[in-house]
Amino acid sequence: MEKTLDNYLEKIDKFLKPMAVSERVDIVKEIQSEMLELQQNGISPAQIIERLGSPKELAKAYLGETISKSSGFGWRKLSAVIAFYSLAGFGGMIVLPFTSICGITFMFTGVLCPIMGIIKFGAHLVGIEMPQVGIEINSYTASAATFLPISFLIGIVLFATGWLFWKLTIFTIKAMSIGKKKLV
Amino acid sequence: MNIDDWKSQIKRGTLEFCILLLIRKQPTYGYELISTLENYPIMAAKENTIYPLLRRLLKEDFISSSWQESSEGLPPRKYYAITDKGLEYLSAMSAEWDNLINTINEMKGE
Repeated sequence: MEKTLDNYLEKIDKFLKPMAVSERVDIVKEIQSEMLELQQNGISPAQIIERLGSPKELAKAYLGETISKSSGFGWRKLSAVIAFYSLAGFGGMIVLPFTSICGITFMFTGVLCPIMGIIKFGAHLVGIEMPQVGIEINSYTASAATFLPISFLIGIVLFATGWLFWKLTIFTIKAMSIGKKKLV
Repeated sequence: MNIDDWKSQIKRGTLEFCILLLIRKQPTYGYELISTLENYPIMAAKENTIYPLLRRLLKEDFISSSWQESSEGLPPRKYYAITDKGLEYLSAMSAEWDNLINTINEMKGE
């Protein structure tokens, strides 16, 4: 196979890193199959590449479709989001990092908070006090027993906030990939 | 007057319908599908639209895919075929399509 075409496929493969290996292999194989068929029809490598568009745009189209159609949160999806906005340009450089980082951080602290509540309570039961963990408003300090439900409540609020930020991230990407996809 | 924006919106909304109709006729591979669509300028779409769309239809189980060897030196091709779920979806789409056409005809006073 022509070197320029090979390079093209390598770039696609690289841009699609966040996808599962089996999916990536399948995508590259399908594009390669079309390239070979076009070549067979006497179309030059340069024309083939012009037809397919830049590898970046093509990879972005695959990533955009994957992100906006799968639901929920997962590491693979997170890395697809990161890969997408690294390809998405300036708008993506400002809005998406903010919303996605807030989303992840809030969700993480939302999980952490009740865990600390449990640890403090557990420590209290075996007779160890942990004043560095807890809640303090003016002269009021929550005891280990009161802090436990409070920590769950705060955890839920934080996690929900994070989830909203995450949803906002997905929504923005969806809007961007639709906006860019001018089917002309 | 710019009609292109409106045309591209129509295409966005109906491309999926057209692709499923073509795949229902007979199992088809990606490039063949794109070439067929090229014959209909209102529905012509590039690789970066069709391939991701096919992937989504696959994920949603409206179509299935299989790699098949082709003759004389040509590379294997990934063929897409419609599933039962796809047929069901397609008939629901067809009903809505007829509904739309009737509505528009009525409004046009025909």
